[in-house]
Amino acid sequence: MTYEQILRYLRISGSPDQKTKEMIHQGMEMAKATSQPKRMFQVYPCSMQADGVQIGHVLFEGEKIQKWLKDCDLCAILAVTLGAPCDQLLRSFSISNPAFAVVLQAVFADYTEDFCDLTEKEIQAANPGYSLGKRFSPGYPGLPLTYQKQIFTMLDITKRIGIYLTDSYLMIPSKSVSAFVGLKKG
Amino acid sequence: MKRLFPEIGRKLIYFDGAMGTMLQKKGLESGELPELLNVTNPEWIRSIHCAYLQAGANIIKSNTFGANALKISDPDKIIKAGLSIAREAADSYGAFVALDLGPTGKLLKPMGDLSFEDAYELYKQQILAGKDLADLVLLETMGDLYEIKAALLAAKENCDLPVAVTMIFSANERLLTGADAKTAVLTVEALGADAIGVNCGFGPTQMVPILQEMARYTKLPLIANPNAGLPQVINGQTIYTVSAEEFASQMKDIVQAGAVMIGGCCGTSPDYIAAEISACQNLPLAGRTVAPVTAVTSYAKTVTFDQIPVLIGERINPTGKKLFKEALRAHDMNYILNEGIKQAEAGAQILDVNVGLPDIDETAMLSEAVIGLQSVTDLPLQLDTSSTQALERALRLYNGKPMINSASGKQESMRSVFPLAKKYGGVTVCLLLDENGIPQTAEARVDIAKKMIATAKEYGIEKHNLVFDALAMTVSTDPNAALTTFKTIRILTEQLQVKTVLGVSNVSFGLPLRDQITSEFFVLAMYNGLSAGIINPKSERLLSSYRAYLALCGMDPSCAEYIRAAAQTAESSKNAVVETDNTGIYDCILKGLKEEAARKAKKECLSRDALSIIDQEIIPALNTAGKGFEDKTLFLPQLLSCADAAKQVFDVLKQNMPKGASAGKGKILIATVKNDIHDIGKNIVRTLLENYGFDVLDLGKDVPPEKILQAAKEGHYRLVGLSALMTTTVPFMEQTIQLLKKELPDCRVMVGGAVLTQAYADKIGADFYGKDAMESVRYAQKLFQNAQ
Repeated sequence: MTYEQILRYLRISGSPDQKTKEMIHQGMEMAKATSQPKRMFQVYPCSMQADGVQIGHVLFEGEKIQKWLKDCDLCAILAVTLGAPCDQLLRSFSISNPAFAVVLQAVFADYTEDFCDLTEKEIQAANPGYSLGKRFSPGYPGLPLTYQKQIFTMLDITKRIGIYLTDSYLMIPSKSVSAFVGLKKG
Repeated sequence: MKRLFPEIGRKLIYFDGAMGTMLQKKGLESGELPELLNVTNPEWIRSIHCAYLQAGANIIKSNTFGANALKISDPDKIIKAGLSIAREAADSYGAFVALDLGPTGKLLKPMGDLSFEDAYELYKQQILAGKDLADLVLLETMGDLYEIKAALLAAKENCDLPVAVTMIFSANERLLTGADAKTAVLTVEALGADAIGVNCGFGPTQMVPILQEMARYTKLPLIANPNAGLPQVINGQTIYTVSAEEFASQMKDIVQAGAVMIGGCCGTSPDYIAAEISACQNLPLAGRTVAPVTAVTSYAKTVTFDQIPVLIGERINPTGKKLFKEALRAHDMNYILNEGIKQAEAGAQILDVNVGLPDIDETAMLSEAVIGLQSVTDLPLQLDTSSTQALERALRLYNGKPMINSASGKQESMRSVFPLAKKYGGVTVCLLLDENGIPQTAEARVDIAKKMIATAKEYGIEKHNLVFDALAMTVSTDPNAALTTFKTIRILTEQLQVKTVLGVSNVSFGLPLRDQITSEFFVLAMYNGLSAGIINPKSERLLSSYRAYLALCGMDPSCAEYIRAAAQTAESSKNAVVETDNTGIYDCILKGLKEEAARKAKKECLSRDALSIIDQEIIPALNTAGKGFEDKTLFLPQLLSCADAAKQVFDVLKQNMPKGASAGKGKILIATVKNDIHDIGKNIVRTLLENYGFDVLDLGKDVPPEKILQAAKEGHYRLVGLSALMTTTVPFMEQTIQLLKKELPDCRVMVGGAVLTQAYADKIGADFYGKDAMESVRYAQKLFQNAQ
């Protein structure tokens, strides 16, 4: 987590007032104390198909994903969550202290990114000789949320790290990320 | 469980091992549903059952783990087929069949999107389909206490079979939804499980500490069905690396830890079970000494009535509170939840919940408050109602083992409360009065306690699940009132060896400086052995007496807690000095100083009328803040701080306004649409609208179109605000708008949310698109101004 990055999530340009500054620092402490972060990844062979990309045994249909994984030999799928207690804190502060809830939301978003970055490093370390592409997620333009269902089945994410999928393919706890990363030889 | 296995506890009982692992070896594709094989390829299933029975298993698990209506179209048929294969196989070996049921795969509300009732129905269907051919029900790989409760109730209410529950723990030794082993075991036992244990997730070695912890808190038979080691993923395949021999040798530690029913889970095969049996069959079984504890739980934690007295927050109660009553009548759930949050921050360890008013539906309100509170706090709750109906509904929906407030020594009271306490589990507060009223002497109160212990026993409730209220009476009318209470506590503690509780504030009724006498009374009661006080945690006087007492009586080593609290008090009084430099209410709001703003408002409303404070202080301050936000000289957190401070002032004014008068600038209904669980944006809008003087009814998140329409109709709302964050949920926004336009053509709809744009909003027929919260406020102001 960095103070600057959290300001960016809060869309604050320039310097905020003293109270907001204090809330950010307090929020960062709270994120470390409250979260129960969990993460996982799996790496699959991937290959272009006429109507999408085959990752492991599963076909992800669509043109956009073909562009994202162009020339990739492998595709890693990762999932990260800060855990359920963070959601409870957000709900609680959005009633008792809405300003702090907004700050905390930004802090958690940045903290989640940290664990995504960490997971990418682990993917890199497990696959020497490959270079990692940019991380992308279901819900990005042209990448349907229905991919979530496929990802969750492939990685058994609910059982392994406790992220649940709702009927509309949203993740609970809300501070969770699922993503693909393409790997190219060399 | 003893009915099935009379030798349980003296001789090990063996479960079988993995089904899925064996099916994969036979060629099950990943992603294929193994339960369907009960119909498409019963021979595979039969041969696996037989292999385990051959290896020596006493219980085989039916191939029905995920056979629920969310995952397959005809669960009845699949379950019946699975059970008849298992039954036939087991019968030829004289073995038993467990109806095996796993989690639904969905998270229950309020965290997730599956309702408790729907979860119950899913399990009920499975249990009705499988019960006739099964000997027991096994709920396994469960990771959420709430789902366990739904499943256990479904089993207990729909069949007579014993029910075993095994749970999956994460590396941090907690369930997915946060409970530690102690909380899990106390909760599941209270719900009436017949055996408890652990399966999956870990190999035998990692399970040992969890089983040891469980063994400390329950006398029930313990089950362990571990994996063949920790899973490792190689090339996308999950692999288990512990061999049958290693597994068998590690299982000895499991038996040592107290497990009396053992088997295997993922990665195990008949070889593992055979090896396990030959390694463990001659081991002596671990004896267990369980000291009963008086404890209540939430979905995540336990509060034990032990040496240190427990603080139970009394503030969620309408008695004598004007704003609380108004909030209840207006169905303002956030007001009630905020009372809970503030008490938790102040140091309460359990929250009493009383929402009874003569003119509201208490059953509905209590359940809603309980569910709402459990979404914002992990403190256990004390369900406080005199309505049996409200109590039963709340007990059913509560996630954990609650306090029940209360039963008295009256026969009628015990007859209605004890059966519920037994069925749903809980710790009951026993009031020491009966048909003859409140006894004047300690001895007579203790006699009622003895009678209540005996009656509870008839209902199967042990005395460690009762807490006795020694009754605090007003000292101003009876000089010996407090002494009688102390004596009652002493006898209860020393002779009956039971836990005690007091609603302490009664003692000071009718006296000046009530806080003072209540606090001293509390300290003396604790010194006489009191286990818990129902108190106001926001009383600094009382809390500091409590902390001093703990420090003086050896319950706060190195006075660490006392010092920490003292430092915090010093810090906040330092801040208060700085705050007094700020002049008017207007400035305090603009600087986001909520306590100071409220203090000033309290003072000024003695000499000014409320509307002038609203029009000359609150609204101008919010307008300045709003303008700053629009000009980007001030940012969202600051804007919300101002709004929050304004809200404090509003609350003060409301309290001082004559009944029926309203500061309202207009009524607005808001909600996050169906299937969308994001509500932070909606909450921001709500906060701002409220603090600009609008009366806002917030229906929450994931609200179906029909419910929004109904509320808009009933309350005659002219403006509805809808929020949606995801592309997948915008269609429900469109549906809601269409419905509102059709039924209430005069109602305006404003929308907002991350995926929306002006064009999109136009397309779905919204009257207004607010790109941020301020814009919604401006629109509402314009709309209601024009109307005036």
